[in-house]
Amino acid sequence: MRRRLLAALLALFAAACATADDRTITVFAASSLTDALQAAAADFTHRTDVGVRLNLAGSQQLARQLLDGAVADLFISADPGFATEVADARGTADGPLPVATNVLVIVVEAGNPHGVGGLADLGGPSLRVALPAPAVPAGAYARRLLEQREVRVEADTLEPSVRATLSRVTLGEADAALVYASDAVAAGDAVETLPLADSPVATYPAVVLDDAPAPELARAFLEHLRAPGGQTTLVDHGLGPAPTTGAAS
Amino acid sequence: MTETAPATRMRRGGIAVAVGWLALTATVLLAAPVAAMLARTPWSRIVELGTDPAVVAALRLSALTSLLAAGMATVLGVPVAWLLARTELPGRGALRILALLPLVLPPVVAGTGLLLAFGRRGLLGGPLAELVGVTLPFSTAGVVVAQAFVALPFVVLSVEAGFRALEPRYEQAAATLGADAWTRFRRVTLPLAGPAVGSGVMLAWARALGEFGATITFAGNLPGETQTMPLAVFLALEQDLDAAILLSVLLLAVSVILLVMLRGRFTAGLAR
Repeated sequence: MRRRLLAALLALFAAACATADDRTITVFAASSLTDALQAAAADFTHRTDVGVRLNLAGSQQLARQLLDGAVADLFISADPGFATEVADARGTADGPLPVATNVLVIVVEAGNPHGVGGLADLGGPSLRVALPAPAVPAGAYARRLLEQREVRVEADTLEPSVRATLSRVTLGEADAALVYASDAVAAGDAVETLPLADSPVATYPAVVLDDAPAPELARAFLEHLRAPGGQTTLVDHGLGPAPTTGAAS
Repeated sequence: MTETAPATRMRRGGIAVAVGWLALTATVLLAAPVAAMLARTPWSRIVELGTDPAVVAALRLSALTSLLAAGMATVLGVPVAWLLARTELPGRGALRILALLPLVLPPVVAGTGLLLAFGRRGLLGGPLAELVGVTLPFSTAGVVVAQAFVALPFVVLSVEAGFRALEPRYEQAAATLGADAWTRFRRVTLPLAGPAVGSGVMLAWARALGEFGATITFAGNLPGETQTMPLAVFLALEQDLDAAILLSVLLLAVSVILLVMLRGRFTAGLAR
């Protein structure tokens, strides 16, 4: 009796697992896409009944995981370099195709208590500034921007992802940080955003992996993101639209 | 149900085989990461990577902060161990739980707690910043605090056991000879509990050296200031795998040396 019950439970469990795996895709995406992708994924699941599992982290971390053989269907990087590296190593069934763009902004605590006016103010000696680490795409963009504008910033911390950088300001530990516009939008009223003229534009290339468990579903999600509906969702969360060139960039 | 002698022998033989296989699996689980790391170490790049300023900074910082943290944990932990072992203080049970909490708390949770308590806007950190102008996050001092926090239970555990194991007659003899409480503690109790204190401090140091989650959450990450070796390994994994492996092997070597030095003392301090 006990054995039959056990067998029945195991069968039920296996069936549940099978159903879940059949209609789910795994997406590795840059942390700056967190809120936008969660919304777009919810929409996609609602329309197609396909689940979307998001693994959100710094693009450099995700690239490392994928190069080490992590199983995924789709990779959306904040940096074309990582996308290409993964595409070369794992092979690509589709892509790289851009899904969005993003620009850097300065975020400060709500109320701007330290009166930060622009990029030059970040070099101030008493200001506590958080930057993404150089290995993070946003960190590389930030460095480039600061070099171009000849502003020397002594960061107080170099965080492993943009969202971690943002959290330093929302927690009140840092006075200012350089993050993406989408991150600033996600923080809402907790921060004040100072836009930057001539910010480098980050492009998010997406790659459907050659050995993806569900390449067709992954393609469908990619198309969903690039379609007008998906683009609106992304823009609503602070991102810029995907560049509309004829060829894949 | 009684067993026959052959049945008993067979059962015992079967158990022996099972134990053997499980032990072998455990050994492989433990040895494989070490072996893989050593196999993949870029020995030819050891000089180049060993003199890289970021690597040197991480090594120096780790050495400094872990030693300071072990010291802080000892200075704070021994009195707590004393209270737990030698007094009838009401609420001792709660104090013990509190003292051992960092042992089971996930390090990132510990870091978050430290941030909420001692951060710039923290419960105690806010007033501290306003009154004294001292902020712990993003500073080396913050790293020491985070490491001391997670290392403290090791001192308390080991030293309390050490104090409990002492026979009171030596202290009683000292008392009859006219020694006051502090002299008795200094000349009799502490020396007798020496091995327990020693192993507690060593384990605390080892834990402080390996601390990652609480450090990166509370103190942040900045080369030369707050980027200890574990943090450097974490970030190097995504940039320069060779450097990451080299740092890892270094930490591995230190850990092994520590354990060799602790052999015999480990169980003496904790298991009594």
